[in-house]
Amino acid sequence: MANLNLEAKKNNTYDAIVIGSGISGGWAAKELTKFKLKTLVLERGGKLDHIADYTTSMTNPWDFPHRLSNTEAEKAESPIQSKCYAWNEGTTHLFVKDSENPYNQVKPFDWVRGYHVGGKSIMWARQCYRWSEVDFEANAREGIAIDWPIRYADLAPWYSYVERFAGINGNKDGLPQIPDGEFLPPMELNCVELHLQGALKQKFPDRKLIIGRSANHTKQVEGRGPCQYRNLCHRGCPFSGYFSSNSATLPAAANTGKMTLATNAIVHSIIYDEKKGKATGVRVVDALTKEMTEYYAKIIFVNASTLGTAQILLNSTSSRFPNGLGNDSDSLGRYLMDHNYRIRCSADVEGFTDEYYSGRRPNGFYVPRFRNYGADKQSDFVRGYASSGEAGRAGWERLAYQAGIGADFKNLATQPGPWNISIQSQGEMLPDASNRVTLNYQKLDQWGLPTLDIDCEWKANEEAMCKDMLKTLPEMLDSAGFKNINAWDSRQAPGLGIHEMGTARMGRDPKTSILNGWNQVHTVKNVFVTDGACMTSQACQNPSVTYMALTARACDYAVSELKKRNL
Amino acid sequence: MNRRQIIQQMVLLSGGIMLAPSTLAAIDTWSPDAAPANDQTDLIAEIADLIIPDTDTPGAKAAKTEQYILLMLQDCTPADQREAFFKGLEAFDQACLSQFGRKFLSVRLDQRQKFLEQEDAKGGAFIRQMKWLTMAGYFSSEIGMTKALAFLPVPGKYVACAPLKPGQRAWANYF
Repeated sequence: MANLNLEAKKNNTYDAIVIGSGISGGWAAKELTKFKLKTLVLERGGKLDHIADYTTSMTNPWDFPHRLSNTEAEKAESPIQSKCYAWNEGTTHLFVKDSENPYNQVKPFDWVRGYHVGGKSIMWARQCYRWSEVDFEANAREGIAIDWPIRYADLAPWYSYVERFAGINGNKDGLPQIPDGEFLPPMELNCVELHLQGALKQKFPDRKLIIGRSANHTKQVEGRGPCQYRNLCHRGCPFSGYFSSNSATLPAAANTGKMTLATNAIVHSIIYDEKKGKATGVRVVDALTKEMTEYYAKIIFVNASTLGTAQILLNSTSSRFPNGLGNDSDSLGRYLMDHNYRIRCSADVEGFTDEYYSGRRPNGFYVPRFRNYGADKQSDFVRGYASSGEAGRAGWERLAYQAGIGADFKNLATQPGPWNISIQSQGEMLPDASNRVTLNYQKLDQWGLPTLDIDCEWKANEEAMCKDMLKTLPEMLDSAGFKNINAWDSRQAPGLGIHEMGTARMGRDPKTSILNGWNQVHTVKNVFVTDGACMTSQACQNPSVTYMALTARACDYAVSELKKRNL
Repeated sequence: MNRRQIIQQMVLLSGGIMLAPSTLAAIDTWSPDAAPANDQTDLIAEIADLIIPDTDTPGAKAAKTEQYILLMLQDCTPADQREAFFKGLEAFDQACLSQFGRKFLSVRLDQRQKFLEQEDAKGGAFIRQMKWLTMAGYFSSEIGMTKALAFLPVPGKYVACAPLKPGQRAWANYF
C-alpha cells in the first residue's frame, strides 16, 4: 500500500505546476517548458483545441438561428456575461454561465469569465501598450499605496522578448508614455480618423491620435496568420490571425514534449508544508466527478486570472498562513482595480462622402494618456486615461426609425450612410484597501469551494476623472468639426472593463505586499503570481502585454533560482 | 438620450452593425404562448415585403423575413414587448378595416401601400418595431447580406481609404 501511494505520488509529481491556461498561464507554460521543466498546466474549464474547436468561426451570420442575437433564456441564465460587448450568439459558448458560477456582489461588480483552455485570451480585445516609467513611479511619487518594486527598465527587455513572439502590430510613434516596441507593420487610420488626428495636432498638441496597437498579425509571425480582417476574433481565429494561448504559447509548450495539460481541473488550494517552509503542490477538484487529487511540484505559478488567483490564495490556509498563502500583511484580496470605461462620446461627421474603406479592421485609433503627463497638471485628480475609438460609415440601421418604405427606401438602405465616430476613455483606477474580495464559506459553489464576496466601487479620483473625460472627449471631436456630439456616462460598475488587477500585489516589504519584485511570494519562495493579481497600480494601458512580460521575466528568474537550489 | 442617439451608439459601439437589438427593443410588443395564426404570419410577411420589396434584388418575402421576425419575437423578446407587438399587429389590421372596409391582406396593393405609408408616417410603436425587425431580418439574411449589400467574408486586407465607386453598395457588416 505504501508503495502504491508512493507510485501515485510519483505519477503526480512534476517540476512545475501552472494554474490557469489564459494569457499569462500560457506564457508560463511556454517559458518553463522551454527550460525543460516537466510542467503540469491545470485548466478549470474544458478543452478548446486551436481551430478545431472554434465551432462558430466560419459560420455565416444568417446561419446562426438568431442571427447573432441571444435569447431571453440565455440572458436570464447569464445576466453578467451578457453585458460584455463580445457576448453574442457566436461566442456565448466561450463565456461561463453565471447560473453555474456564482459570486456575491457586496457592491455591483461584473465579473466576466471564460472557463476553457486559453481562458479570455480567446475573446480578448488584443490591444497592447507598454507601460512607461511614469506608471511604475506613480505610487511612490504621489504617496499612494506602495511603491512598485520594479521599474520600466526591468521590464523593457522582456516586453521586447514577448512582443517578438506574440506578434503585435503598431507604429513606432515615439511617444514616451507608451514606449515603442518590436512591432509588426501597423494597421492604417481611415480618412476621417486621419482628419481627427490632424485637428488634434492643431488644437491639442499633447493629444496624439495614433493607430491602435494590437496582437493581430499584420504579417505572419512564427507561422501564424496573417490576419484576414474579418473582425470575428472573439470566436477564435481559424487563420491564427491573432495571439492567444491556444494559437501560440500552448502549442509551443506542447512541442517541447514537456507539458501535460489537464482540463476540468479546479484548483482548491495550494499545499503548504510547514516543515519545509514552502509549497509542495496543489489540491485539485475534478470539475466533472468532484473528486480531489493532489499534484506536486518544485515551483508553482498561479495564473488563474486576478480574482481566480485571489480565490485560490485565500483558500490556501495553514497554521502558518491562517489568512491565506503568504498573507502576513492582510493585503491579500485587497486593492482590487478595474479600468474605468464609463465615458463614451459619439458624433456625426459631415462630408467625406466619396470616401470608403474595405475590410473589417480589428483595431481602432488610440489617444494615449495626456492628463497629468508632461506639462499637464490636474488639480481634481491624479493619473490619467487613454481613449480609443473608430470612425465608419453608418449602415442600414440609420434608417430603421426614419419614415420610408418601398423600393427607394430599400435602395437608400443598401448604400453607405454618413460617417460617424465614437470614442471611449479608459481611466486608471487607484488602488484602495477597501476595494477587496473575501471568501464566503456560507455560500459554496457546486464543487464545495467558497464563493467570492466582491466589494469594490469607484472612488473620488475615478469620479473626478469621469468629469474630465466628459469635457475632453467632446472637445476633441469638436476640434475636428464633427456635429451632434453626444457624450454620456454609462455609470457601469467596475468589472466590465475586464481588466481586473490587484489582490496580491507586488512590493518591497512582506508587511505590506504579497509578492516581491520577481512576482515571487515573499514568504513562500517557490510560488509565483504573474497574472493581474500582482499589479501594484493600474496605469491606463490595456494590461495583457505587461502580464506576458512579467511572466516571462519571472519564469526566467524561477528557473535560475531552481538551478541554484534556492527554491 | 433619444432613440436616434441610442441607435447611433449601438451602431457605433458594435463597429457599425447591430443585428436585432434586444436591449433596444425599447419598442413595444404581447401573449406569451399564443402561437401566431397563419394569417398573422402572412400579414407580417406582407408588411415586411412592402417595406423591403423586390427590386433588382429580392425583397423581404424572398428572404423569409417573417420567419425571422416570429423567431425573434418568440425567443429574443421580453413577453410584454411580444404581447404589445401582436396587439399592435391586430390594431393595424383593424385600422385598415375601418379605413377601407377590408382587412390589410384583402385590400388592393395600392391601398396596402397607402395605408402602410400613412401608418409609417405616424410612427407608432408597432410600426417602428415592425420596421426594425424587418430590416434587421432582411439585412442579416443571406439574400440581404450577399445581394442587397456587399458581403466580404474573408477580406484578406484592410484598405483604410478608398474612393466610393458610383453605385457601390454598403458592406455587409457583422461582428
